Parts: sequence; C-alpha cells; structure tokens
Amino acid sequence: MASSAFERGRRRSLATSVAIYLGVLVFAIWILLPVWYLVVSSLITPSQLGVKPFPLVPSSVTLDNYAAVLFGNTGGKGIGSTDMGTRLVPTIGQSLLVSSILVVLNLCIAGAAAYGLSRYPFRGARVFELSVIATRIVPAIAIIGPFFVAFRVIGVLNTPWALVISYNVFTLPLAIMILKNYFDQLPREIEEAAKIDGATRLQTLWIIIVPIARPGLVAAGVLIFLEAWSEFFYALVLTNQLTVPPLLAGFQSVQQFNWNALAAATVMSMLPPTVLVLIFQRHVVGALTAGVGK
Amino acid sequence: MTTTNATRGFGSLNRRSFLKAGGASALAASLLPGLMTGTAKAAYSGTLDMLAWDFQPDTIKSLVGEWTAAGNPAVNVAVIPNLGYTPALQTRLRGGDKIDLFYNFAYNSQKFVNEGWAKTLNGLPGVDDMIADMFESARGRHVNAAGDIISAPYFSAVHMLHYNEKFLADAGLAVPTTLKEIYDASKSLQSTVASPYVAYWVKEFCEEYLHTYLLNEQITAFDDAGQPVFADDPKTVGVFEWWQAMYQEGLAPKSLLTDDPGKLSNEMAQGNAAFYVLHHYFLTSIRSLEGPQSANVKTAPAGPSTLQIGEVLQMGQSDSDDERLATWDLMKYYGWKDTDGKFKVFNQWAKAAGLAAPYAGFFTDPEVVASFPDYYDLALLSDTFATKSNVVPARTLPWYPDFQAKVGDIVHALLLGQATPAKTVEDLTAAAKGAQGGRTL
Amino acid sequence: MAGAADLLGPKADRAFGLKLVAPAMIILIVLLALPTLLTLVYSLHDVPASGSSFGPFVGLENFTIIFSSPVFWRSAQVTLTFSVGFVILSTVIGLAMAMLLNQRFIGRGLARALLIIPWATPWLVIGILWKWFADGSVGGLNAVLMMLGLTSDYHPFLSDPNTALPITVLAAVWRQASFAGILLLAGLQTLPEELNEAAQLDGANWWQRFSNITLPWLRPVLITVTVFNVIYAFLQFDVVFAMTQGGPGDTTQVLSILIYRQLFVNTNIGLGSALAVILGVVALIGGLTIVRLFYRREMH
Repeated sequence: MASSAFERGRRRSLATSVAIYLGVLVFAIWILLPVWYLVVSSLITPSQLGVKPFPLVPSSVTLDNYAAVLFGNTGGKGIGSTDMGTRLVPTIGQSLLVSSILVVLNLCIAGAAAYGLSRYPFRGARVFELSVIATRIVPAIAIIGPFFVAFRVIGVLNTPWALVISYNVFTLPLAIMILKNYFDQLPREIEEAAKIDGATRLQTLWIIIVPIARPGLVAAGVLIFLEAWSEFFYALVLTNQLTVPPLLAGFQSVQQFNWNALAAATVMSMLPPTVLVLIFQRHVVGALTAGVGK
Repeated sequence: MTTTNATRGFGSLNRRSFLKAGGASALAASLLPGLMTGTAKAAYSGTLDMLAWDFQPDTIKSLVGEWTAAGNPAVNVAVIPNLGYTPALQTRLRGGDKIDLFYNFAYNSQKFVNEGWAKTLNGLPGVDDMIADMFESARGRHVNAAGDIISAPYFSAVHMLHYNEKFLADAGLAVPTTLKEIYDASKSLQSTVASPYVAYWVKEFCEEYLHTYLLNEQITAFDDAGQPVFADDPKTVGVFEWWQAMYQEGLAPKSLLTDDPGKLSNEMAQGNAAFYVLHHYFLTSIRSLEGPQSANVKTAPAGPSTLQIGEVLQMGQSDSDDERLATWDLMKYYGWKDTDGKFKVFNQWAKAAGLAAPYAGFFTDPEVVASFPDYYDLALLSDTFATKSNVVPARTLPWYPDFQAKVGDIVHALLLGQATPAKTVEDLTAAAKGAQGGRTL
Repeated sequence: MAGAADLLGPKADRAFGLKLVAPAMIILIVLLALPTLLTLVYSLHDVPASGSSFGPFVGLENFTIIFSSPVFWRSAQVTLTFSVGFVILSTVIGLAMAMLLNQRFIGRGLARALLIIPWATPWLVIGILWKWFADGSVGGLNAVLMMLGLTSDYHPFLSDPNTALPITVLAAVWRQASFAGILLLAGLQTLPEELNEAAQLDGANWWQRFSNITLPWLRPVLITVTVFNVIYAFLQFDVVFAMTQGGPGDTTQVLSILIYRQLFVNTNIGLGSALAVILGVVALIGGLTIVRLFYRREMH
C-alpha cells in the first residue's frame, strides 16, 4: 500500500505538491498551536505572560514553573499546591495502573463479545449491538450516586478498583463497537481452514484469531487507555485525587490561580500518554489499516 | 442513619436561640453531662476522617499532624479539588459516607444541616465562647436565625478595592469610595490604561459582587426573614445602571466575564488595570507576581459596608459522643484557637496566602501581625471586619445556592446589554422567589 | 433486518456466540441498566436532596416543569447548535486530516504521530488549555491572529456571546477530530489503489474520484465515527464547564451543564434526573439515526 502511494506521488504535479505541503502546514498549525502555547506558557514568567502580544517565541525561558510544581519551590508565587511533585509522580503511576488493568480486562471481555457478535450471531445479537450504543448515551453524572453506594458497600472506594469497575461504562461499549467493526473485516478463510483441521471453536479463537487480531486489539487498547486516562468526574467523586485529572484540577483553587505553573503541570501530565501513544502509533494506525473495509 | 441518644439530645436544643444562650450552656450541661465534663483526648481512640479541598494539602496535613502529636486521635485527611468539590462531597454524604469534619462553602451550610449531612454545634464545650470571640459581623454566617450554630470558620475575607496608588496620584485623583467615584476615576484613568477596572465577574462570582455593590450603596438585599427586598430601595436600579455602564463603556475589559482571578492579579501587577475588587488576600497574589506595578497596589478603605465572605468547617455524622467531642476539639483547633489560645492554623493560612480569621483577637495577635506581609494594613482590615462588613445572613439559607446559580445568568445579561437595569431588578427578585419556591430550572 | 435470522449459524454456534457475549452483557446490565432504571424512577419523583428516599411520586411533573421553562428551551437550542457544529466539524476536519496524511510527503510519519496528541489530552485539560489559549489578553490565538493581520485588536472570544459557543465547539473539536482522523485514515489505507488508478485512466478528476470512490469506500467507518461524534457531542460537559461554566450569560449553557446544576447545586435530584432522561433520549435518537443508515447500507 505504501508503495502504491509512492507511485502515485511520482506522477504528482507541482501544483498538487504545493497544495499538499500547504495542507500539511495548516494541519501542523491546527495541532501544534495550542500545544505550543501550553509549552511556552510553562517556560515563561507571569510577567512575560502579561505582556501583549503573547510571546510566541519567548526572549528568555525558565524552568522555575517546573521546579515550583515538582519541588514546591513556589517562593510565594501563588500556587495552591506546594507538594505537587511528591503527588504527581505516584498519581501518574495510579493512572497508569487503572488504565492498564482496564485495557486488559476490556480487551478480553469486549474482544470475546465482539468476536461472538461477528462470527456466531445469536438470536438477539443485533438488539444487543444496538443496546451497546444505547448504554453509551447515559449521562455519566446522573448515575454516579448508585456507584458510590455500591462501592462503599463492597469497600473499594478510593482504590483503583472503583475506577476499573466504573470506567466500563464508557470503555466497554466503545471497545465492543470498534472490535466488532474490526472482526467483521478480518478474512474468514483461515478460521474455516482451522475448522476443517478439526480445531474447536475455542482453539480457533485462541490460536488463530488472537494472533492475527493483535493489531486491532492494540488499537482498541490505546483507545480504552486514553478514555480511562482522561476521565475526571468519576475519579473526583469515587477517589481522593487518585488519578491525574482531579490532581490537575486541584491547581485551580479558590484562593490561588497561576496559569504558568498549571501549564507546567499539564505538560508533565501529558507526557506519559503521549509517549505511550507514540510508541504504539505504528500499531494503532497499522492495526486499523488492516481492519476496515473489504 | 441511626439516631443515637445524643442526636435526640441535640435535637431538643435546636430551637434555642443563641442570643438567649445565657442559660443554655447550663441547660446543655444538665442534658449532656458526658459531653460537658468528659475529656475527649482520653475518650476517643479511633481515627477521625477529614475532607478538605486542594489548597496546600501538605500544610493541612502538617497542621493536623501536630494536633494528633499533642495526644489527640489520628486524622485521615483526604483532599479533592476545589473544582467539583460540592458534587463530590454531596454524592459522598448522600451515599452514606462518614466524614467527621469537612470544608464547605458557607452557602451550602444550612442545607447540609437540613439534609442531615452536617450536625449543629449547639452545646459543645466552648462553642459559645468561640461565637462570642468572633466579630459580631461574622456571627450571622455561623449562627442561624433560630440560634443554631451550624459551622465554624475555615477562613474569612472581605471584598476590598485594590488600587494603583501611582496611577491615581499621577492623575491627581483621590481614592474613590462610592460607585460613582469609582466610575469617575475610571473614566479619568482611561488615558493611562484602556480598561482601568477589573473584577472577577464570571458567572459563579457575580453573586458576591451583587452584594458587594449593594452594600457599598447601603442597600439591604434580604430582610431578616430572607425575603428579597432590594427591589424596594430606589438606589438599586442605580447600582445596576452603574454596573452595566462600567462594562458597556469599556471601563472594565470585555473579557471580564470569563477571566480568571489569577490573570486579573497579573493585570494589576503589569499595570494593565488600576482597580481590582476582590477578596482582600488577592493583594498577596498581586504583590508576589512582582510585576512593574505590583509595589504600587494598595488596599482602599471600604465604603460604608462591604461583603464579608468566609468558607466553613462542618461536623458530619459521628458514631459516638466521644467521636463528636474529639471532632469538636479538632474543629476548635482548626477553626479557632489551639489549646494554648493561639491562632495556630489561621496564622499558617495568613502566612501562606493572606487569609484572615473572623476573630477580633486575630488581628492583634503579635504572631499573626508578624505573619502578614508589611504591605497589609491590618488596622484597616480589622476595622473592615469589625464595623464595615456584612455577611448577608441569607447567603447560608438552604435555597440560596439555587438563587446564586441564577445571578450569573441575569447579571451577565445586564452587562451584555440584553437586559435593562430595571428588568435585572425584576429578574433577580423573581429568581430569589423562585429559588425559595422549590423546583425550577 | 428481516434477513437477520437467515444469517444465523447452527444452534451450537449460536450458543457459543451467546457465551462469548455473556460477560460483556452481564457487566453492562449491572453497571448501566440498574442506575439507568434508578434515574428513570427518580425523574418521576420529587426526590429529597438527601436522597434517603424517592420522595413523593409526581408523575410527569418534572417533565412539565422542564418543558414549560424557557431556560430549558434556550439550553436545548445551545446544545443542538453545539452538537451540530461539533459533529460536522469533527467529521469533516477528521476526514480532511485523514486524506492529507494518506498522501506521500516528507515527514508523514511525524505528522501521523502529531495527529494523536489531541486525542491523548483529557477533556478537562483541553477545556483549561483552550480557555487560556483563547484568552482576550494573554491568549495565543489572539497573538497569532494579530500577527497574521487577520484582526486589528485583541478579541475576548470567551466573553463575547457571539464567539463563546464557536470557541467551545472548536476546543472540543480539536480532540474529537483527531479521533475521527485516525479511524478514517485507517479506512483510507485499505482503499485498493487500482480503483483510483482505473478511474484516473478514465479521466475522472479529483472530485469525481473522491465522491465516487473514496467516500463510498469510507462509508462504514464514517458512520461508526459519526455515531461516536454524536454521542460525545450531546454528553459534552468537561470542556464547556472548564471554559465558561455555561457563560457568558447562558450562551454556552448546554444541557449537561443544566443537569449538573440541578443535581449538585440546586439538588433537585428529580428534576436533574428528568433532564438526564431527556438528554439521553435525544442522544439516542441521534445515534440510532446514524445506525439506521448503517443497517440500510449492510442490506445490500
């Protein structure tokens, strides 16, 4: 596929090339401008921030904001949290833990369900598929009360499990829909060959399907991971700043506000998922490449 | 939700009026001998749960840790962000979570008592002394009309006008006090700074400014029964005319409807604004930004009256009297004084951010005086607390959050020119009545 | 859908399928069906704030209050505007990015990696970031617009009732378009090159190839993406809450903000639940409309 793109490129007119590179420029600005603003904000002082126009290319940079966030080295610079550093690292760890457990659980459960729906449709399978979408539309803030009571009773409040369980509300329907879509596009010939060779359904699933579906599973896994990583409200109510978003929100307190320090904390919190996604980037794009369309 | 003997005991005291409290302590003593005589330290061996919002959690923990180290029970301090604190706290309490002591917004306090999420402090040892120690102006926030003590202070502040002394002097202007004077001074200063006046006019905070401005013109917003009476005062329309003019004529920047207070502090520090009305402690943030104009920013004396705000500590459900007494000990320490009679916790908040305590003794305590940076005029602050500020007791009534949420919509409509000042008065009155009437959107 | 039964395999296969689906089904029923049912019951009661009981049964009174309130209709209008803008822009920008990143150019790998950054940023953080980015005096957006000579003065985007909603939409689209872009790019890469080449030999221009080959090919994935976009649009809360809290005035007050206010500020749980039911039904109708298209396509 890549090669065909190259061949096409060779026949490309100059005008097309110019148009494409202009497009790339617009694309890069669209993605990078807010990110650049964030990064620059984290590297300048409040005085520089107060100057019009905003210094898109700052004349001098400082790591003070990062030091303030990590070491509580605030020097009375108006930061609500003075021990962010000691809290940010373990919190990132908890976020990683919650998201990873959820990814593994969801891939097993949603993977099985999606495969069943795709290959062994039963009476009511369609209805179930529709209700999977329907479950995704329940406003999460409306149903948090029952979750809290249930988790208090089983004693998992303020543990990663409270989030691992409740996040299924968002991630399971998402994973089922994406994986069902994916399995529908996988060729059935190999499975049929396996059947002729006398493999049971479960053997076929485990030995044949899981390996060839790995790219699709990786893609769905990254999606689930980022959904879980980004969730704020359930983490706020069900835990005490166990994950990153409620910790970041803690930076905006009634008594103090400081955008520069918040920007530094935000940059640091964005690093782990970005690095992770970049590592898996080939798999994500590649996986969905193989999956969609016939 | 078991009803212990003690809760019934408290219930019987609910109607007593604080103002008639002379004999009440004796009454409480006879009803609750265990409460009045037992020493909590020895009696409670469990752990206390405390919930706070995220403002210097390490300081909270070390303060509470010192209390525990003095022979008191251990305390589990949980911290969650201020953004979303109310929904999180409510969901937890509604879901049956047991929290001995929690931070709360004053406007939630009576509602929480009514819903059984918070207990009144009536009859606890020394509570009457705590109330008596407070500025008289502050009591309406912690003692309701029926005389029940519903909360202790977490911190308190007064709305003040911060101004750039140099800008005023250069323009030959006196420090303004009335809204009219502020308008005129802003007009004159427009040649120095395009939009001289800033304030935290986002939706959630419009309600505080409503009271700050009404009080500045000596208008009573709510009567003793909590009924909205601002419409009866002919001066009210003038306040809204002023407010609308400040925004419409560009004396206040157009971005004010969504600006963060931290950004506004920086506008003062950089010299992009000359006036900034908000809680007194924002002087700390303006000064510590160390912008070119930071050192020129001063606090102006309040007009006839200004709004006094304060967030509170409330006591949640407890399993036993001993636990309640231990919680109360922690509350006294955290919201009043330690056993040595020092404002240890408040002093820490003064040091950290210039926050104040609503106690007269606070401002004269030598340690506290040393904690406040030199640029604070403590005599001015103390005087404002004592004689020139009002907590607007209606702000703690159970229907109030509903009204508060609507003020933002209505005031923004005024500022954007979508509603006339007269219509705004009508809408606000209707919003208050609607909030008192129950379910409305 | 009439032919669905014919597609079923042997009985043993169907039983196996059911077994595979069972765990997911049970989890969704336990986690979602029960709380949803509770929300429905709440919506018919005047629930006390303490939540200790259902309170008095009031029938459809909560719905009557909502439907007779101008606040609701204004909010419904805002929600609809937000959603339409969000769905269209996320899908179109996502498609444009996917088309672009499917071309050959220097640095394509890096560009594809960039595509993922917004998608890896939490909604709440996007709200906070864009609030500052679009700020009227220290914002980067204004600095750039000025630099390019597109505006002559700093514009307070979020405080201006005409621009507040478009900016919140744009902030939310910033994340969602990447989500759409990644799924659509994957779909594009499976497009057999021969189709395009044959069309090119037949003298089809770019637009003809796009509308006759690319779009039909992308249709299934486009529909999946749109379903997600619709759901995310109606349920959007974090971004708006962080940026404007629904302001200035009521110009960005989407229904999820009203729900939040009723449930947690006014503590009218019955009324808040009724609003949640209404929002859920609207989102469901939006989602199912897209799904119907999906099934119609599968019929041939």
